[in-house]
Amino acid sequence: MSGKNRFPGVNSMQTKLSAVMFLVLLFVVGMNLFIFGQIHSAVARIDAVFSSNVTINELSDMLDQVQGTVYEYLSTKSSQALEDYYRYEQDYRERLEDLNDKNIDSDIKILEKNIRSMSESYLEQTDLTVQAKRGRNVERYKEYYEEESQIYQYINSYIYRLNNLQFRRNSENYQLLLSSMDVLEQVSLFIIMIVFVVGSAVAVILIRDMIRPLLALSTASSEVAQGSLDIPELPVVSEDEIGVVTRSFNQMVVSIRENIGKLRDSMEKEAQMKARELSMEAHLKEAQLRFLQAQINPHFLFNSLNAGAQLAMMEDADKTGMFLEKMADFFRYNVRKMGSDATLREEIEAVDNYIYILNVRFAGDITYTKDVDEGIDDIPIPSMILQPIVENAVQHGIHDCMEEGCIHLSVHREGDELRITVSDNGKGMSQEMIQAVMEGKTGGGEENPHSTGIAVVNVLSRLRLYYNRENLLQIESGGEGKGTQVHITLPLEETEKARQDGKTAAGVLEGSFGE
Amino acid sequence: MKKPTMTIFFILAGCALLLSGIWIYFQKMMERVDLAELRNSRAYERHYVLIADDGNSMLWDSIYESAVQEAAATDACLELVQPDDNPEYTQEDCLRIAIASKVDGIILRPDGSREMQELIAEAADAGIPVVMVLEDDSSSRRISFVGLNSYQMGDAYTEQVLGLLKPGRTEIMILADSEGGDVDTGLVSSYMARTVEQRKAQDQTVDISVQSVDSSSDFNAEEVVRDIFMDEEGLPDVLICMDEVITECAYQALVDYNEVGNVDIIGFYYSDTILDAVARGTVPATIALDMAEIGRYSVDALDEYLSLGHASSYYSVDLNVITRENAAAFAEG
Repeated sequence: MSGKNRFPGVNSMQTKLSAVMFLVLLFVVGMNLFIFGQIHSAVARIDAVFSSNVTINELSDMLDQVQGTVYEYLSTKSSQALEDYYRYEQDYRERLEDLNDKNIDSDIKILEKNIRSMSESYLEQTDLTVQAKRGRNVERYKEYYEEESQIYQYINSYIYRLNNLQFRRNSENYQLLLSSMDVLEQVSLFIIMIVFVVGSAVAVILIRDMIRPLLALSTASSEVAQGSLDIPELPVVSEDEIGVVTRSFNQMVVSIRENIGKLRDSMEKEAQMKARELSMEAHLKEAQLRFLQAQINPHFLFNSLNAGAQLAMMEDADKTGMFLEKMADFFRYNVRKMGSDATLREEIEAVDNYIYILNVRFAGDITYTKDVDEGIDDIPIPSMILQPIVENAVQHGIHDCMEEGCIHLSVHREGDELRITVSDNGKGMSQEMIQAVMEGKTGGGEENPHSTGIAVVNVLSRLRLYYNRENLLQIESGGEGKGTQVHITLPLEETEKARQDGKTAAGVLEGSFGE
Repeated sequence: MKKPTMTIFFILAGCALLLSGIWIYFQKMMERVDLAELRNSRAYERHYVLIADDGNSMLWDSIYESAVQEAAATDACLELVQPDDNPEYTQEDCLRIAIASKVDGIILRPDGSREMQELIAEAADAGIPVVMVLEDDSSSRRISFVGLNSYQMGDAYTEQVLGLLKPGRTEIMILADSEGGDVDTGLVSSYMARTVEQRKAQDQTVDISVQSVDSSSDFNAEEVVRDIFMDEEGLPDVLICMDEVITECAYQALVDYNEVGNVDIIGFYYSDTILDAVARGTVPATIALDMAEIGRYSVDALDEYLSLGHASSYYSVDLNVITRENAAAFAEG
């Protein structure tokens, strides 16, 4: 059986079922053997009861034969009779060996002993008789014959007594055995019923015990089939095929659960990626639109401005020339840097140019100061970040009080971060406004016809996409009339990394449109 | 252990217990079927035979009971051969059977016949010692006699007779078994006659006669006793019975013939009826030997002979006179 076991080290169902069958059969056979044994011993006992009478009767017959042959020999003196006599005598002696020869205080045993002793005396006497006959001693053999005949009578009467005694006792025994057999019959019926009940009970208990884990497994698999994977782990109660299946089932449920988890995670990530991609695309589209709108004008404009500057030079109008040159630089930067990263210097220059232009426009009303750390000019940052912020400060902050307006730009490196602050002393912002700007509901420059076109929201989104972080831009204001500070915090490491990966909004733009 | 395993274990254990119970029950039942009669039996070194000549008597039962205990104590079993066992056999036949059975010792009451003497001699030749009880046959080759001699018996009866003498003439009749062996009724009567003569009063005359009862044939004793009571003229004043059967017959006749008070019976040994009669005063006295001693001594004699090669030829036993005063004690046993 074990050789066919497909699960090494496991008690197979076959073995278990065979064991149950074997146990029940063993029980049935054992009970039957028990009943058989009892009946057999009772029958053997009944046999033994009457065998004593049979033995005694045989003894009596043999005694008759001896006596008969002695008489025949004395009558005929035939050698055949003598031969028979010796033979019967020998048989009789042998049969006597079965009789008791001990002094036992029991009626039957003492009778047996007396019969045996008398028989021995009798045989001695018959020997004497036969010897006397052979010696032709007529007187002696007649005398001996009389004596032996008398003993023969005694023996016969004793045998008769013994037979009676035994028969009486045996009859009592027989009655006793018969009643025993009656009881045995009833007990046998009872045992057969017990065998039926107990055998069935044992089989049912064992098989139920074996099947129970199978039922649990089937219930659990139904639940799984209906989609409920949150089932408790099934206990492995036996090391058989069911145990193996149960263990495999448990593993299967765990694997399915894990796989579904992984699938859900990857789908979530994919969705996030897709959303980000879509968002980026939207921004690009927007930037692209604005760029296309602006593209014709600036090119034409800064070429015209260059021509104007040259004209101003020829006419020795230096200030006009300067003004036109700054205008040209500003627009050139605007056009050129739209598609790629800029350095911090370029950004600051763009701000400078913008302020210069405004000051020319508004007759030098705006006070502009800057505080930039040394040695950070070459740090790359996304282009068109600072100018829109400054423009916002001018448009919304100090627009109505241009003559007192003051704008301060500070750029500091703190550890791995670059902190840029643009502050103004304009009309300030309420918290609701700040909230609205941060959530992209307003604050853009698109609705303003004086804007260069890039809103704070756009800056915010581009920073988020560029660095893949939130809260890079924060707006603070003390309230109405208390000015506004816009803080931009740029992680330098991310800047480096982003530059290496080429993962920039500008890079994408660059790839798409070139310059 | 798991629950089902425990349940099965308990079920099987219960079955095993049930089977054990059934098995033990049947073993007990089978044991009751006593094939060889060996239960409560044991083997002994020797085998003695006690040949009783009157199976119905309490006397032999008393002798046998004490003898069998004594025999067991000396590693011998005692077989009681009663006339009931072999109705067709005489005492001599029983003796022959015992000799042919090569027993180790024989206890009997002799009948004084020559045939018995020869058989006792035959037994002696075969190395089987014979002990006589109650009565003696000194001319046989018995090794011992256990009982009382004629003089002691005569003395015991005489003592009772003296108390029953009437003024004037008293007729005394001694009823004895004719097979009485050596117990010489004549000796008893002459001893009694002599003693009574010496001790009676001057005005008293005593006439002692002896009536022999031939008990060899059945019912003879009863007929003889009835004859005596039917002959009113010859009815004695005192009837001395030398045998327990005769005593019983005489008492029954006394009641039947309404002679209570006219005839005094001095009995031999006792039965329930006699003890009852003694207690009521119908029978003045009965002479009883100590039968337990007889049984014990007879076995002792055999044991002594077989162990030492010789034994005392006479064992005297105690004699009890049962009167109205002490009858109750004997009735209780």
